[in-house]
Amino acid sequence: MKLPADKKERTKILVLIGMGVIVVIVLIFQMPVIGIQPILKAKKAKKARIEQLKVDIANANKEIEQKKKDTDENIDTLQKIKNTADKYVLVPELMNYEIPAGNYIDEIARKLNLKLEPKRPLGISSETAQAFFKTFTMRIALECSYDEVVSFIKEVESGNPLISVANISISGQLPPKDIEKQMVSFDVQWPTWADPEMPAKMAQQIKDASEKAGVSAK
Amino acid sequence: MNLRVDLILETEKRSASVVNAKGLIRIVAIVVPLIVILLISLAVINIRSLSNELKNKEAEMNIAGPKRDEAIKFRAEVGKNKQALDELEGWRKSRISWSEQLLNLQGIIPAKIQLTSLRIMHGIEPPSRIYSMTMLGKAFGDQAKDNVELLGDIKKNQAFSTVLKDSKVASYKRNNDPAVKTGEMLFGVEASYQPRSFK
Repeated sequence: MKLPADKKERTKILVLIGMGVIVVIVLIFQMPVIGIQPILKAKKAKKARIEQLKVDIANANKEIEQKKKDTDENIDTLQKIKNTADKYVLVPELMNYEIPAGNYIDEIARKLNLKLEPKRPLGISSETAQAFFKTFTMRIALECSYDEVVSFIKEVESGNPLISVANISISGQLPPKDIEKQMVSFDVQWPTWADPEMPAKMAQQIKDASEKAGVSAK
Repeated sequence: MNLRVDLILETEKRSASVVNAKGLIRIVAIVVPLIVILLISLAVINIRSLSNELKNKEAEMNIAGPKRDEAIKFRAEVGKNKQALDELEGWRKSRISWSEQLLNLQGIIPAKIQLTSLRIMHGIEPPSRIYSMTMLGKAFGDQAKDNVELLGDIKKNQAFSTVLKDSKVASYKRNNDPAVKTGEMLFGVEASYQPRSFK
């Protein structure tokens, strides 16, 4: 193609070509910014959200899977607590801890034929700093031989593996008192539920957990 | 002689080149918009497909989310129950069999020593039980000092070495009471037990 010989026409053509070139350049470089870039941005955001959801779903599935294992473990844990607590945790009779604790000690004293001084309940304390259990302490005092106190404490300890004997004091006596006998005192500590309603709550939990496990097994 | 006859006017002449400016402009004018339209179409199709995938994932998460929350809540409950069991076991772990300790003590007291007082004190320093023992007594005969030292070294005795932290003779003096035999010594032995952890 040849440019027109007429100078005016030639200038017009050159201006048109120049404008065309500018339009093409604008199209090439600005189009992504004007038209495609927002689309790309939206795409990137969606992709990121999808990736995040994939991770969240995978984590959620792990948690759900873990719950099945936790259910069995929970029943096992609750049963162990119940079996131990029913036997060895001191439960009050009509809100009175002294009665069951006193009965436990009296039975041993009767068996060993020992005469006790009046038992002294020292009440409930939170000294063990545990969340679920507090301590009920009862002070025992008696006059007996060293061998008898050993037997007494042995019976107290063997009857309940959770009981703790503390603050033992054994002192000799001078005549006219029987020098074969010692003045003995010691504390017996029982674990007791910090929340007295806990045994009932545990029983309900076991019932619920067993029912759920039964349903999911079916 | 060669003769060249040119009957075409200047304005009627065309370039013989395959590529010419006008053709290029035409091609660019068609191809560039086409490419742009194609790119936009592909991006739109792609974004629609992503939108569908996103909807599916959100629906899946809407089902899994509450189940996950329930599982997390349940795990916390299981954790509490385990803690209760551990605390219960802590009572078993932290205690010392005092019947055994008293029996062992009886076995190691030398014949020429008489205990007048035995005290075992108990305290709590969470998460452990702390026990200490104080023995007061009398020692007789030539071997009084040796016997008291032997008792002061109770920690070295096999029956106590695993439970005691340390032991010492805290006091040793002559009994100046005129009513008693000469040479009778009064002593005190102190020992502390290793902490018995609830955990």
